Amino acid sequence: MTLLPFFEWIQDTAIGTSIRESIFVFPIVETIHVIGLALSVGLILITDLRLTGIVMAGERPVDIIRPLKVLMITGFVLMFSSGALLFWAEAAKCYKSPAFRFKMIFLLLAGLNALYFESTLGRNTAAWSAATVLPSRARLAGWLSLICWIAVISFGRWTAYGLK
Amino acid sequence: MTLIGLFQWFDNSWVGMTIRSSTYAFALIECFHLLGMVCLLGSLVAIDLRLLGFGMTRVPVTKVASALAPVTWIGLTTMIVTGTLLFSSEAMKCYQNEAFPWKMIFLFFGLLTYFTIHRWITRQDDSRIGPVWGKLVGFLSLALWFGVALAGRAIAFV
Repeated sequence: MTLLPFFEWIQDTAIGTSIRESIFVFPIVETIHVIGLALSVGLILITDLRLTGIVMAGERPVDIIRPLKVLMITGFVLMFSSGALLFWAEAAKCYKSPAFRFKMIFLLLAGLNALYFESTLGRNTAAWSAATVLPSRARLAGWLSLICWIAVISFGRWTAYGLK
Repeated sequence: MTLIGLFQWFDNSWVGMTIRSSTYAFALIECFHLLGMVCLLGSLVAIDLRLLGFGMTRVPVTKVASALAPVTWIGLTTMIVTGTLLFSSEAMKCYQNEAFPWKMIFLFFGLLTYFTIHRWITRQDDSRIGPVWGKLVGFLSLALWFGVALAGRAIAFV
């Protein structure tokens, strides 16, 4: 059993076809995808750089990370929903693209890393947020996030070229 | 040298021809262009939000800006180097492209703003930044840099 027929079906739905064949919709959705990426990954980068202690190590992490969260999530929603529409239009092509599979793996890893961080250390900021040097687990989460997102972006760019 | 002559010079350059003839070079350079964009826009969004009165409001503007300046610089340098390489490989395409001049106009004013009023205001003490000035510069900076990104994305579509 392969998923390919399912992906072909998604791509051939009325919505998938109209996104793919529209002169305006596909470019607009792609543009939203890039703007969402700049906002979300841009602010994730700042968060990760603070977690690892590369920037603003003298500032309390809560003062850096928490206020950026709303916009970061907004950017992520933009990126994720526009990404879903792009996938809808090119599902079968994505299925055949090895780069796309790597992108999904790293996206999943980035998500799991964020989820694990949020459900453990993230919840208990009061315990560590006043410290200048963060616990090693927080620093590790920052490094993992950086690596995952660099991979997501690179494989994402690669997917677009493989598709042409 | 005329404008078209300059574009032709880039198009015929060794670098441009090498990238054009390679299967992976363009995509690989684009990856770095995109990663540079994340550094540049991420740091500028954080700084400009702070100027607009959002984001890291507990940290002084000068601290946010000076701490993130290396991130902005890494992003800017990466983007300009990779951007020049990408441009060399399709300079004549850019010459005929309707979005390309817009990207360059936004980029010119983005850089001008960054090195003048943006630099000046992010070096002022918070108490000395007028309520309107900070917001104006933050908004202008965001509008110009996102203009660069939008026009840049449009190059591939128009």
